[in-house]
Amino acid sequence: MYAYDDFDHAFVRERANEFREQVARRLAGELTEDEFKPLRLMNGLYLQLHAYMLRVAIPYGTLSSAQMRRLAVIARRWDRGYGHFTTRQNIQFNWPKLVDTPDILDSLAEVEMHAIQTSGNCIRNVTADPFSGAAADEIEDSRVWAEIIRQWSTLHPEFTFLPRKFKIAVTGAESNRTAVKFHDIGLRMRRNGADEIGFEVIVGGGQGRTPIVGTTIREFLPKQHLLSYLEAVLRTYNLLGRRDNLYKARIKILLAETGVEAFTDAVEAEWERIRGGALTLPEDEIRRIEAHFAPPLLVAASPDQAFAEAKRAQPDFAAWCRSNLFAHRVPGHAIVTISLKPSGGIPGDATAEQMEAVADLADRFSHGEIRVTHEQNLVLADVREADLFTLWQGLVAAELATANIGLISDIIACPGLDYCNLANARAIPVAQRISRHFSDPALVEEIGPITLNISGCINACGHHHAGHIGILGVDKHGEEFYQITLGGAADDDATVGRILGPSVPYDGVVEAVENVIQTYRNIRTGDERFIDTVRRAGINPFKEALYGTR
Amino acid sequence: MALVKNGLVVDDLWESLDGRDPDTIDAKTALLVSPAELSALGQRLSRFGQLGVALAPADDVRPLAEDLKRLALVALTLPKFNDGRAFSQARLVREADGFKGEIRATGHILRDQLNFLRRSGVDTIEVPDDGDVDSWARAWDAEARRFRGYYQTAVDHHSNRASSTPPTVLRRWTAPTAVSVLATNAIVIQDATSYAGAWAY
Ligand code: SF4
Repeated sequence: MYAYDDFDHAFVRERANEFREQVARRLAGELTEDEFKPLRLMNGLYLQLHAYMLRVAIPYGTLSSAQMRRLAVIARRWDRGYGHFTTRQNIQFNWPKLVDTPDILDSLAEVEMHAIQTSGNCIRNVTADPFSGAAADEIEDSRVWAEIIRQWSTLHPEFTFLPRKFKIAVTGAESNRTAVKFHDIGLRMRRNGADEIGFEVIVGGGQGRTPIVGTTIREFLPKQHLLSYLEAVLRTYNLLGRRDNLYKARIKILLAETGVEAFTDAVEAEWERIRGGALTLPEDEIRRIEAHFAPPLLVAASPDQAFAEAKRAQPDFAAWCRSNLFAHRVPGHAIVTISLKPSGGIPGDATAEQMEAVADLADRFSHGEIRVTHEQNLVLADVREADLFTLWQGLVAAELATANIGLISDIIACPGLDYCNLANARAIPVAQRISRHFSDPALVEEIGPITLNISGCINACGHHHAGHIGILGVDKHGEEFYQITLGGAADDDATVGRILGPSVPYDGVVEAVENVIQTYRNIRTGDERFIDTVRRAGINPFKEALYGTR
Repeated sequence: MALVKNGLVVDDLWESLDGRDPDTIDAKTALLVSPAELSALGQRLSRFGQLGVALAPADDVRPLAEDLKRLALVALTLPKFNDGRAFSQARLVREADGFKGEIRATGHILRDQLNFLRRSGVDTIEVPDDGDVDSWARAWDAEARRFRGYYQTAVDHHSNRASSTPPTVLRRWTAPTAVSVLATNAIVIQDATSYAGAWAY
């Protein structure tokens, strides 16, 4: 993974010092809360319902075991002993005190971490494929490019006061594990006819109150031109994006209002002006970054006998293997996803002890590296098959062995009304109730692959539009109600879910989900996945089952 | 109003046209006009030794390409600190062929933004009404020195555009004499008359 040198260390320290001064000015009353707000937001510090919340950047979701241990220390010392992994592959601490935040940033800087650009109207932490470097279907390691974008966008002088926040995702693999079409810019690696590698540039995807699947504005961008092209898109957006209405300020609205063609023309014209200039990435510059992501030395192994036996002997282990493992590019290895969705738990939460346990297991079995997924789980990317059983036992001991990746209890949920001051309704307790309802592993496995996403308001931080089942909290005369959507998807066939019917009360959500699942099990053909059934049969059968024919 | 130009406090000698007939104004006046006035009055402005244009946040810089070769000042506005269009406008002006003048930022500016403005090509700020001029001048320098290096190329690394490919695109240390070196990217107009020639059609 990327390792800081003098330059990066100096930069992050200087940034932390700047923030310390700003906090001091605030505490001394030299800055009003209004003036302080943009400054703290640029360092990931939000004021939530009950307290400040600090969002720490985990660039493209990659962490070292040492960094994970430091997060545990921070959770214990300055928070309440836990942290919350987010859908942006970051981590949030929900209870820090303002006066402590400079110390937290110093502590992070010691392990090459920071909170830069985790909020505010700037280019946010870039997300990438959590299976980068390990997946069998990969063209190139997307983290190399995410790191290049991270550096270029860090305190970019021109793009720090954009109309609205700006999210970029990169994927280097065939299958799309980064919801690349639901980002302001999605970059997808491609090989062209001449076997050169470049990017398909997808612009204007997004969730929130106007969910839109992104549009490809360039089929192939040679990779050395990535930064100049991004700069052309960002400059066009910065100059033309709407600033009169918070809800119409994202680039997706600019694209819709200008029209794809006119927008693309504007970007291409600006690119023409700057292409080949100072932002062209020289080959050795790319190599310099690439070297940081050199894959660990893995020796291909034939199927492990003991592994097969352990699966036979231990049905729980076998079930975990079925749901939590993904094919590795090197035979005899696996990509392991650690579920942060235990039955009745808070999606994405991990205690300090669990963080330390994962760090230890990463050191023992996966080259000391951990990834965070946008589904709020953790990944050990390079585990030998022969080690899987011992690893699993370690996870069981840490209460991290839930076997539900990609299944109905692997719920994405935003913080909702428990923390967030924009929320209409709670999201976490809804997730807890649903996961408790679907806690029988055999049943969950029988239901099969399905995504269930919950947001506490229309801002859609819980990605409800992109869930096969989406649940959105709404406020009806001061009461919490939930709108249910079906058929959303974040994968290659990115789709926005369709509303099933009138919203249901808080106490009716579990029943409604159960009803949807029953309908699916009644009408599915063979081992048809939930999403395929919805795509084939439409939402009407579900609607009728839930609301009656009327 | 007071200005801080490259970290120094200077007086604002510019006058806006404000609907006056330009023919009645002394040609030695440093005259600030709007883009509309610039295109409407054309030749009638050519006798002014110093001419500048004040852009609104929504004004497009690119149609001004030819004019920029002759302008000594482009003034930009941040209606609110978080309206960042001026940053891109500054960048486009600073990178326009032949522009050697001042880029001034006015409006609602936070001192924590000075470094971003400077790196986007702004060399002068109009000190906000309630601001202490000297502390803003100190802040300009302090912010310019805060970081010893930056991750991305911007107008303060302009020289790289001229040379062939720079050794690293992503990051560079700022020279130890940061402030004075950086200031050179904007040619400081001490002597207005030396620019008079540039404005002859
Ligand atoms: S979706 Fe709404 S409630 Fe949930 S975190 Fe985002 S803003 Fe808060």
